[in-house]
Amino acid sequence: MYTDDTELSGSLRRLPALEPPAHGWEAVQQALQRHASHGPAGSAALWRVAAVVLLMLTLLVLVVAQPWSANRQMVPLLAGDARVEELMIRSQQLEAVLRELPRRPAVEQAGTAVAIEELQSRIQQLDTQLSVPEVAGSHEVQQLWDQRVQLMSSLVGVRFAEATRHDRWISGNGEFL
Amino acid sequence: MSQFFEIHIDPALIERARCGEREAHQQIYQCLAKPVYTLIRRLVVRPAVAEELLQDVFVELLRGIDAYNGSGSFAGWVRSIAVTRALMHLRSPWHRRLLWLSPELAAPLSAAEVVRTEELPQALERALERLPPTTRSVVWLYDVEGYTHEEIARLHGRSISFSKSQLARAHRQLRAWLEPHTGELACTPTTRN
Repeated sequence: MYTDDTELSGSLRRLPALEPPAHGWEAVQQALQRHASHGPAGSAALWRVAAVVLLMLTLLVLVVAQPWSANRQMVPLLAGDARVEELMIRSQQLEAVLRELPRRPAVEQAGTAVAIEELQSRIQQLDTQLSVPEVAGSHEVQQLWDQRVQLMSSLVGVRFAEATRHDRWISGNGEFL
Repeated sequence: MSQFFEIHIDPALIERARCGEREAHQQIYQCLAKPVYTLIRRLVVRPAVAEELLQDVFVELLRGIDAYNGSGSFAGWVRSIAVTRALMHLRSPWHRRLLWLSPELAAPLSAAEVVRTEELPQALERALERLPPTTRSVVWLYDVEGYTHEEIARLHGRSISFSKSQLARAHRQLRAWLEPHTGELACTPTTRN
């Protein structure tokens, strides 16, 4: 049927384009409005203060609740899968916090940018490892998830510091984000 | 060749979009939604996920349109956002969990699905969907979008030989699946990645 790769590639290129969802634009518009209403251009300083307080509270809850921190040795390990499940949930929570942080500023300190890049790249490497089926031993999976949560936690911390610093700078210069 | 290369967006329209003009945003969406959605669907397969990623891509590009510096094709810039988003999803651990919920996507093609010549495009689509996600992305980016092995390797954080071997394996697998059916299928389950 396909005698060579060129023929196969040609058939792939000829596959029909797919129609996007009928209400795709409306969904994009709504998402844009949600982002706009999250922006400080409307209620400016008050919103920023509320956002910072909310984020600090969320971080506090996450940090206090995490069993792998200071008293790591004292926390009895759950059965493999349950522990992994717990780490996955923690990871999801941290990703949710990360999504709520303001967009990264166009201008930022080089050290912060490098740190963020490094953390993101290490998380990406872990994700690649976690997506390999051979990584099957529950202890190894647990270790990888543990590392992922720690890296995510660091990333949230650095991004939060960056956002707060930028917010102060913007406020000081009388501009909107 | 990639549909994106056939799309030209007027710089004046981009400028209007930069100024926040909603009508310009909508026109950009209308020009690019179909190729973006097609690209994402081919990479991630699931329509619901693709719709969500489509929305994310347009929100990101319309909010960050100032980041487009005008040096290359605008559609090419949008394509790179879409590819990055889709690959981020494929790398995400949640994606692997989703695979468990759709066992039909993890199974090889059945005898009933392979293949009559007159149904070849549909069979090819189904076969493509059954490839492991990373392998499928390599095939699509190389064969259809025209990425080089170097670019694919960089996107996946892997070596060039990884990209080449994924492509060769995928071509072999697709050809085996799409051989005219003569009794038992010669296909075996591929490793998920």
